[in-house]
Amino acid sequence: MTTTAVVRRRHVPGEAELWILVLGDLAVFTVFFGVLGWQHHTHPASYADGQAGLATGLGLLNTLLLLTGSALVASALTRARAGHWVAARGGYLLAIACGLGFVAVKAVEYAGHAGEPVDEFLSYYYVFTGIHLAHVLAGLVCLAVAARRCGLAARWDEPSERLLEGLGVYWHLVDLLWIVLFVLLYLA
Amino acid sequence: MNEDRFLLRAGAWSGLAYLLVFGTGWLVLAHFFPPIEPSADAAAVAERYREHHLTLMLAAVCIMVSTVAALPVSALLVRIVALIERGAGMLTLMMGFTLATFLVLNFYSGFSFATAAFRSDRAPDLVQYANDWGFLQFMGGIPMFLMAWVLLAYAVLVTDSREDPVLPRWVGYANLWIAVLYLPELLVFFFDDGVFAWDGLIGFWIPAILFIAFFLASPFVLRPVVRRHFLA
Repeated sequence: MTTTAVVRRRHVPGEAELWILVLGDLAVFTVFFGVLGWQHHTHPASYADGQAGLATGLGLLNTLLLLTGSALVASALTRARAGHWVAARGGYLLAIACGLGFVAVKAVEYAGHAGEPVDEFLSYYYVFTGIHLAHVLAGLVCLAVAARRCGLAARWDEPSERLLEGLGVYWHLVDLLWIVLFVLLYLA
Repeated sequence: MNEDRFLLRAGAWSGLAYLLVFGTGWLVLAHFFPPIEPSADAAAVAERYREHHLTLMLAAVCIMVSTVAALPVSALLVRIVALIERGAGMLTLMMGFTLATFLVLNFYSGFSFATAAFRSDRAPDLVQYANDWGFLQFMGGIPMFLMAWVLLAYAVLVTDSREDPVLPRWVGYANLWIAVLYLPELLVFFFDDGVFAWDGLIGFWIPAILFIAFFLASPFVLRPVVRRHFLA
């Protein structure tokens, strides 16, 4: 029991090396956020103009979808730790549905801007949300792997806790990045 | 197999040699650090090629020749993937193809700069056109080489054994991170000004620094693998 307690206290979710990618990605996005901040600082009027043209409601809906997805991923991990593979798989599948919802809303948003002349603000909007969208797609692949491994747990090989944690951490990263992006692009 | 010890060692070190030859061209001779601005007009571009005709031609030749130095390290990377995969399977072949296209891309970037420098007194628009080819190719050519980093990450993280890995797992994650940072380079086609352009922070500086860091680090990662798995 004592050993378990010690291990728990020093527990790093996922593989330690995974955090090179997670922190590295955070560092890159920090640069992106800095670029947006600089743009906001140097061109406040055109930034505000561009912001006014964004569909804040859709952005908020997407924020809620990702937050719900993250909660589902966290609870799926708890289920998986307890060996409830069917419930865990269900959680991951629901989280995938949230992620697909995010992609669909983004598509509606992009379609709404189609035909508008692309000014500086809109080009930043497209680039940063586009790069984030690529992260969402990669995250969906991670969740699909998690769901599949939980589905196979009974018949084949149980997925390691570390693997599920790592895949989940990536999804939470995608969520976190969006929240900052949402605030900077739609609200700030 | 009768391993050629010299070529294997060359594979471990040639990333550095590639960087030296390429850097001599790009950095020392051409001063493409930062690159010629993508927003510069044709007259200004042509003027630069006229004024520095010889050094720019030498730089272009260095960039073309650096392809030779990249060959051993490319071969070694393919061998390592084959070792991880225990044979020449899908990963090995994909790695081979993507590195082969990278070598072609590397050569033709230099070739395009050479074309721009070759008749630098012709119509400025044509010089600018050839110069565009060089930069757009090298910076925007990532679909040709991005997979090298992704596949190496796949080999390390998914295929390699966890108990006795050929390459440490941080190499896999670091490669994935590099791939993420290279991706925005595709934006050089859409911008001729600002952070995403081929002389901007995200279009040039970040990828350029990573490119240098990757090849600088390559001997330190590859030498132990060569010693342990190929020369033992």
